[in-house]
Amino acid sequence: MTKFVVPLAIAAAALALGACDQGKKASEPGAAQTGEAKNAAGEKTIAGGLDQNSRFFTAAKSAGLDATLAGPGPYTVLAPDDAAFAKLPKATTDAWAKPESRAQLTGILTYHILPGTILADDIGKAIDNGKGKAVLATMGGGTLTATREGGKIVLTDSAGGKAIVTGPDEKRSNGVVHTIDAVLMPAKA
Amino acid sequence: MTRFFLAAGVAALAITAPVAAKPGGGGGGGDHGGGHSAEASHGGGGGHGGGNNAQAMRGGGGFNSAKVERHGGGQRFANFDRGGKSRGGQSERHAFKAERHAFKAERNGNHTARFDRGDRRDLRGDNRFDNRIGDRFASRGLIDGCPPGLAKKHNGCMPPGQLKNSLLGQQIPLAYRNGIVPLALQGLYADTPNSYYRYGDGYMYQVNRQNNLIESLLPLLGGGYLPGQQFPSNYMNSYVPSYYQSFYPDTSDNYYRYANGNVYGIDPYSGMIDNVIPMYAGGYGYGQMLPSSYSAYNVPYQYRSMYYDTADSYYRYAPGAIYQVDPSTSLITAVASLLTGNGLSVGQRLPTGYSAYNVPLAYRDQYADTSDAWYRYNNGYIYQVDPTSQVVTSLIRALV
Repeated sequence: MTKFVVPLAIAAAALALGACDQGKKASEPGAAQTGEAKNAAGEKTIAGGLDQNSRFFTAAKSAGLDATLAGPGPYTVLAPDDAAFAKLPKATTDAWAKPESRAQLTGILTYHILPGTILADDIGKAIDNGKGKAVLATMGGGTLTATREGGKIVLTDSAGGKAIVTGPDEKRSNGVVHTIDAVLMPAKA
Repeated sequence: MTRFFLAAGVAALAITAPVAAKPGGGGGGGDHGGGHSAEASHGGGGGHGGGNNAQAMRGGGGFNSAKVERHGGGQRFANFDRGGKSRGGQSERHAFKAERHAFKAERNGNHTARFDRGDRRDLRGDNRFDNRIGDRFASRGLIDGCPPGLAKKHNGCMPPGQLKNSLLGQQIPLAYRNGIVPLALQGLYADTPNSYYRYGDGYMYQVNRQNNLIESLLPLLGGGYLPGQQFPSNYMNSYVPSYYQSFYPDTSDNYYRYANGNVYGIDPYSGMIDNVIPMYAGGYGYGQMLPSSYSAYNVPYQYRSMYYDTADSYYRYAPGAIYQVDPSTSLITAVASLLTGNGLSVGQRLPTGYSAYNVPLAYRDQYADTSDAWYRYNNGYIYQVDPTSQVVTSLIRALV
């Protein structure tokens, strides 16, 4: 019996110690990133540059994407401002906090992340080349259509919803953030 | 530190005590019942699958199930709780149990990622009732007492979805009672004053604190249809989206179909689902479970110097992302990197959505668009594109 208990005690202690370690790691924003990935991402990442209390970043956290945005990327993030989230029905945004709605939330958020670094100027040039519109691929798999209205870039989602780029070109070490005034919705899978 | 070891030792003793008490008297009876409770519902499942033969069994199973639930399961958990309270050290005990779980998971290799194998079979170990059913069915020519499609699951013939649903409103099985949620996911499946979460066999269980009954369960493998179920015929024309087809080509003995954000591997002869592969766009990710088919390290070459397996975390690629995975539970603890599902390749036409210049800032001086050459970034590489033909002409540079 005693012989049996000793290894158990050690195992329990080892695990408890390990758990402390993990706890520390989980609270860091870039927990998913290895040292090499952090170096590649640079010092001022998208994750670090976003307002940590904004509704977009809170949503990204609950979908596990905050760690992603601290990685090397590069990504172009279309970040809806808090007012954009306030425009949505409260029931919809409340539901996003639940684990069972995370699928939907992840789909929506990855629709706001584009591969590579695309500055507002680049979108503008693509609109000119594309005779007034440019189609942009998103990480979620769907596409957005960019057009120009009154000197500003307007993004249209697959359902026809529109968002205006209000704060372009916040450059980060692993990409760029454009603030937009509405939440875009991907086509339902 | 010494004090800590002592505490852990006491906790360990607290665990061994109820186990030691098991064979004797009322406690022993209760424990046996606990085992039946789960198994009896399997019997019910057999009834579902097996047609007429099974009808009779279903009655029997149901009756037994109710009985053992009353006498057995409850009592066992009551014992368990008492032990915990009198000795304190609840967290150490949980920690130890989790450790044991982890060891088991490692030993079983990737079995944790499959439905209903490991823990379920353990419950069966000393179960005479179940063996009796098995024998009877076997004598009628069924495989392991089940219709062929369900036999290989070793769960008493029940399709996994039904089996799990039968746990709703019941005591959480002892095997899952200690299935604590990995630390990195505890924010996502956060305990409340009224309920707590436990993890087991691909499901997250929300358990009522007052009575330890399961209030709800979340399938972590993408949801939708489950392995061992019949794939609905109205989805048979629903092919995998074109950009995933190279990953999931149909073969003569395996079809792939797409429904609601998941790719399903289907046996063309029986129509049974034998694999579920959730797609990232359908919400695959954080807090969910990586399917067992992802057991091998598969991160794309250009990302291997950054994302390699460590003792704490594994990294796996699935269409759409590189995931950080908890090695003991196969649960995805974070999305390390997003990748596009349809990467660029040399000789291919530039896909829709890449008309805008997207080269990272640090490389813009070197690779600026000209009238002869465009440059586009995708999944860690910069490609050169011919502006006239829109064909990707070469891979210019790996960035990561």
